[in-house]
Amino acid sequence: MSNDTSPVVGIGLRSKHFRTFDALRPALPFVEVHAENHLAGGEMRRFLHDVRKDYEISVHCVGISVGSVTLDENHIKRIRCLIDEIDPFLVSDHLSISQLGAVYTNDLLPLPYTEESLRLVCSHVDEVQILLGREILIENPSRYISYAHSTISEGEFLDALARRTGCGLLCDVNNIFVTARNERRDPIEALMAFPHTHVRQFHLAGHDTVTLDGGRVCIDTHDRAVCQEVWDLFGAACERTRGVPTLIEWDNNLPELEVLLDEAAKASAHQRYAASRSLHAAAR
Amino acid sequence: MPLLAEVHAALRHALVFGETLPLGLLVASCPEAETQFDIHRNHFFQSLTGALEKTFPAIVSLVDQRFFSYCAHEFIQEHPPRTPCLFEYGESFPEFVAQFPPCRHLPYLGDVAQLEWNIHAVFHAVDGSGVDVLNIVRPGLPADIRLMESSFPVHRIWQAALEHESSGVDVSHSTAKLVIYRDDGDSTMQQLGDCAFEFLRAVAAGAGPLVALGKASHIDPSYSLGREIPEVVMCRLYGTHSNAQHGNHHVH
Repeated sequence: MSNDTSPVVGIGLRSKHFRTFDALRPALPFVEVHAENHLAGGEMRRFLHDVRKDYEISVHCVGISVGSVTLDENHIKRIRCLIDEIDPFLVSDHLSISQLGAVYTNDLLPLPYTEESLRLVCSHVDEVQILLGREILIENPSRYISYAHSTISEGEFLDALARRTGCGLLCDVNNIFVTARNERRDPIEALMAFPHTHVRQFHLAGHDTVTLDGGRVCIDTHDRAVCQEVWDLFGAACERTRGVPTLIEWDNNLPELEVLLDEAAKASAHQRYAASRSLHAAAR
Repeated sequence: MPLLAEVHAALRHALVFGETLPLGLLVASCPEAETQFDIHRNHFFQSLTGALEKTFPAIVSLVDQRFFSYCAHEFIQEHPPRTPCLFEYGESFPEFVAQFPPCRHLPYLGDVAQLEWNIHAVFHAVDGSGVDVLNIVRPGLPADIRLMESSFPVHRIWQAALEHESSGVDVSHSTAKLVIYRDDGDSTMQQLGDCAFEFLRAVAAGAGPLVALGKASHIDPSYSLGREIPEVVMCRLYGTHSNAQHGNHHVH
């Protein structure tokens, strides 16, 4: 859906905005929906079909849980039904655990980065791609905890995962920032360690910073505008990976739709600037 | 080095039951590892409480926000989600609040919660099939039509609670026989008379229209097919029209 220089920026479409979105029909190349919000029938499903007539759709999942000991095959089959109906151009989920035994956490818990985890996640991603009949993208999580017995860096883990399974990567720039800050690392170094050749999509979102036990912690809240530091990081990411679809994610404390569209315009400007710099560099 | 399965078990106990994580599992830093994990604990309870608040707004109004949060916390610990879809979470909440000791002075609470779950389930029901959001087959009635009977006027209590006027409802002098259904994408309900309710109850149990009509006629021999039943419901059942539609409430 893109050449290397056109901005490709979409927004996450949530039910609060359905009516306004329907009225405005904004000029966007794509919108993204959470699969788990649209597995029911009724209006949620009908609206998605209606949007699909005019927009490309990216399907973002939160419940496949590739880091779990076992996969919920029934859930993946329900996602397959949705995908078959709306033919999205991207399907993604996270490098995380959301299913612990029979319990779903409605959260994205990080997993230890070990050889055992890597084998398990690779096997699960293979299985998911077979069940869905297509490539999926795996997103780097926001992390507040790190396991003492991890032996592989997140970048190495994601790189090995993409190479072994053929999956793509969804690079959440805000998550890189949040995790790096929580690990007292430089976000730019963390971005440079991200295996950018496998990146098929960027996510951008807002986060909060709070004080806990006297230490500062960034929390991935998706409830506010993207901060300047994350925009700067996104600018650097665009220079490494051009023309990749980029999404403005805003899930909580949702503002008017126009605010999301303004954020999308900012992301487009960053993509345009990165593209022009690379053209200049090529011309020299 | 702990195996992944051991890590999962530790996370489940720490997240749902508030147990301490095994010493040394996480990298210690500032803030301490347990405090960092509290971010996940808080998200787990807050996001699920938020989902329950959205599904059961009348219960929030009837018991107040703080008590609802306490009740939800107890419910989440006892009944954590078994599905990744939030819209499927809370089916057993009505039974939970009905049995919840601190709510015993509100004997209608479980039925009001059941009404709210029915409204929610009908709104999200899979189109054109005989299964509900949890894939349970419901012989007779499509998933977007539900029946409910209560010894309390739950529809009036529900409406008054949403309008924050619950003190105005006399809970002891009437009952409710309701059909909850989807009309133009929205959940709607209608109070039914005895015959109409008996008719639909028979249909829900798998009876054909003539057998169901016979059941309704036991109550009133003059009852005619479709009387007092919403037109949309009759259309969904048989593709026909009834001639009466009144007293229904759109709820979303």
